[in-house]
Amino acid sequence: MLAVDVQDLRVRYGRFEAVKGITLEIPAGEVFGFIGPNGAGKSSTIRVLATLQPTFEGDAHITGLDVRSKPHLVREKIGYVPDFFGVYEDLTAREYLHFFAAAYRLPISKRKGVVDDVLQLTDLTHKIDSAVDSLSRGMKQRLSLARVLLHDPAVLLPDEPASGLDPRARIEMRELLKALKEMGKTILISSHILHELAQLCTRIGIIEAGKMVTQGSVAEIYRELGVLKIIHVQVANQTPELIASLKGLSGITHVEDQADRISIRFEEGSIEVEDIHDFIHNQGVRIRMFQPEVMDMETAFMKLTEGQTA
Amino acid sequence: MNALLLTGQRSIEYVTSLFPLLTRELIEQAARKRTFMLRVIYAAILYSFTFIMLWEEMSRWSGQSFAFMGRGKDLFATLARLQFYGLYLFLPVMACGVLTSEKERDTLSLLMLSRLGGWSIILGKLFSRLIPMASFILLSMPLVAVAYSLGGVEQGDIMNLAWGLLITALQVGSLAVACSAWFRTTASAFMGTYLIGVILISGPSFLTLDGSQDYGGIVLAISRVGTKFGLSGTNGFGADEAVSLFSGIWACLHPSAVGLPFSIIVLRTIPMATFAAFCLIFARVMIWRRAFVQPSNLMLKLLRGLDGIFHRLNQNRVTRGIIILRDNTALPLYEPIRWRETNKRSLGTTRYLIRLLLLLEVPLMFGMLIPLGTGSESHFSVHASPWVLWIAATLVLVIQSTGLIGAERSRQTLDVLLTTPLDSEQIVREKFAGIWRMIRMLWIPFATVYLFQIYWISNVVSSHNAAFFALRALLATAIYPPLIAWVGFHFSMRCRTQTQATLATLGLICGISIGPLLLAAFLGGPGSLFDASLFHWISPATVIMAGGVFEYYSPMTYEESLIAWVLVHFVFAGLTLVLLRYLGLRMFAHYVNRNDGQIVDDDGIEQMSALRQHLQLTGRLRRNDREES
Repeated sequence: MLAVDVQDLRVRYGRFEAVKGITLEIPAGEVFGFIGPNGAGKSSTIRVLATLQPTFEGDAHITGLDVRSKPHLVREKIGYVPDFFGVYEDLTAREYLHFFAAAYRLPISKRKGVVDDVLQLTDLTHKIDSAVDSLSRGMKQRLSLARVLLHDPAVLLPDEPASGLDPRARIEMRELLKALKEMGKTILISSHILHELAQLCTRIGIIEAGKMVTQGSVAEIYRELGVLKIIHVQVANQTPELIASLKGLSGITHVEDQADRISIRFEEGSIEVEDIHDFIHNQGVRIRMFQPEVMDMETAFMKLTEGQTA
Repeated sequence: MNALLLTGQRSIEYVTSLFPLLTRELIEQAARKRTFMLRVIYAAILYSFTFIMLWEEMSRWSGQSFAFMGRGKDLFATLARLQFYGLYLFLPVMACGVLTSEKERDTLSLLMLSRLGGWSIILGKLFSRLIPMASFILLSMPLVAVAYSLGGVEQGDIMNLAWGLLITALQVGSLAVACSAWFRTTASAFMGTYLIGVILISGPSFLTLDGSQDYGGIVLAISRVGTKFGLSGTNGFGADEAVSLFSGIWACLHPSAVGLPFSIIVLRTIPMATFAAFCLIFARVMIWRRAFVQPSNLMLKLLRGLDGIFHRLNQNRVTRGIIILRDNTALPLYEPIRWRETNKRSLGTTRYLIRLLLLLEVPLMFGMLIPLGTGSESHFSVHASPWVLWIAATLVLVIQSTGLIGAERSRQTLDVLLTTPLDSEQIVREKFAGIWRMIRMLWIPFATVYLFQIYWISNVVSSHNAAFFALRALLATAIYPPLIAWVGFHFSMRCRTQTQATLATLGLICGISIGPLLLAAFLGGPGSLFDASLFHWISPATVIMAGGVFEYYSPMTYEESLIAWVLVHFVFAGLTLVLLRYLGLRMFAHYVNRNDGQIVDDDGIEQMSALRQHLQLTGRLRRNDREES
């Protein structure tokens, strides 16, 4: 059974169609990264799954439960983390978590243990009696994550959880999500921190203007893109002949002689990196630096999207 | 002609170069639907009232065409009054947010970084509101022409009115801009503008309420100065004019002002112009100083201040800091929202409610006891106490009820709350727990005031029907507070911010309270074809206050039809309360965008009501806990 199953989802706000037929199938235990520019429809999709969108077209199921007809049961299965700090600032961390423990109807006898556990997991045990108001942004976001773990949901829906956090807090958040991934949670995460998604997600989906542009594993997306790769080379005894011979090599599309290096562009799959290395070596030059540049998520994202919104 | 057009165009270009903000503001307003809606509402009210008046006049003088001549004066006076009321009602709404909205959107800092000076911003903002207001006033020109054509209106009257309106617009607009520069939120600026405006314009008139002619030395001195400088009409510059120096409607429309030359009217409005200048200077001084003022909870500040006072009072040899009621520090068990509303929100906690009760009750008791002590048959404090209490109760209830959803939205906690398994009806019911606690607290000062009034009526004013008054008081205190809370809650669900919800709720309450009275005043004039006094009984203000000590000097007769009208009023109010409550519980999910789907059990077969499901789940939870323990 799929943890998240979305078929031909369409969301309209009046005449404006924010989501235009998105289909998602996320098996249990998978971490799915949702990438897209602002206004692409990521949050609208997540809000449908979080039962915060009463009207939509298409089908949406969480662990087999229909979001449209059984939202009250779906809420037991999900943990929604908004991109802002949804915390009551007039409470302490303990009161805040007990508030939601009561809202999720946890048995009273188990609440203290569960609260202690989630605080330990999110490394906030020492802040248990601190006012939420006094916590840093990163801590508040970790507290938000602690909140959604109280009822041990099957599916987590963090909507840009690292937005507005400093680098340390972002790394802490990423490590926390990795820990949850290892615990077997299904996570549908949207984020703008693209390289972090690449490290965390088993699959990603790129959405633009309300439509899913592509989805699959990171490697599959690179392959699908057929993108060019670049190798930066520094040699001790560079000659014009070397440049000319490189240009003549099959699969290489462009060779640029820069001030301190040679940049070689080639098509993925048409030639192996090792073959290029051997070819240069066989030209009788001494290699000082040989650095293949891996296309990052930003490049893939820029290539796939055109900056359109729905 | 071309030269004239060119000069006009150059003048506009010069003004817009002086106030670049003015152009932006006017364009923004022109793009808003609200601007046109307000204009249509204003025109509808103005033209309806005038039409009704004209129709009445024509019906009265039907068949006597010549008798109709010269009646334009009455129509003109009515129009003038309407224009002033329009200014007082609409301009603060339009102008009090000019700077606070910039603060709320964090855009005032951008204005600071621009080359615009403080005066350029303030005057640009002020004129951006005065120009649309001028368009409102120009709407009445066809009606003034009708009045002029009927005869009885002098050119001087029109000049005087135009000046009075101009200076009043400047005064009210400047006050609103000054409040906007001082306060952090539009709601605070709105309330500040109206409060200062009411105190300034009509506040001193309260001094005359007890019928005494001794207005105090300052008022008499102003009166003498007014008479000395020739500001008086035929009856002399009396105390009534002296205590209303800041009111344009008095300066231009008071009987003593009728027929005065334009120059005298200008002199009479000097205090208003001075006040407007003072407000603008104040706004200029405060615009940058208060640009980054942090939002503060005034109510919480007040309650904390009271806390400090009571704490100090408690530290004495007798009480030695005794604590009778400790704060509840227990964690939530079954109803988390109820727990937060009654333990964590400032106006929901028992401690703060007792502080608020004492704050209301002690001055009320004092005010009630003064006339008993002095032996006076009537006293200002007796008149003012119920008004003060109702206004205070309304404000507190509106702030609290509009914050139920508004505060969740502004703290961005609403979505988080909505994704919990709590049922929508349960959320609303628990949210109202704090409100109900407050309403129960408010019943104590209401009982104090009304019991005193009933005692006063039955002992001092024996002609009144004390039982009928008691019934009205009972129904009013039972129905109105929850009704106000539910109205506030509905607006809080539908408005984006608490400020909008607060303004909308207060606007509605003021409209329902004042509207029928104005209608009765206009339709029930001398020679009216039907008894418009019944319109009074639509207004909650009349229902609450009439028949109390306010009516001491003109006791009303209690006819059966009147009792029936009051009962109809309460039946209608009660039904509205029931309807609002029902809709609030049922429509909550819809208004806050929550997917409520169908309520079914785990097998998806049996459908249950939300309440039944909640009770069943809570009961099951409690049973489980008992078994485990």
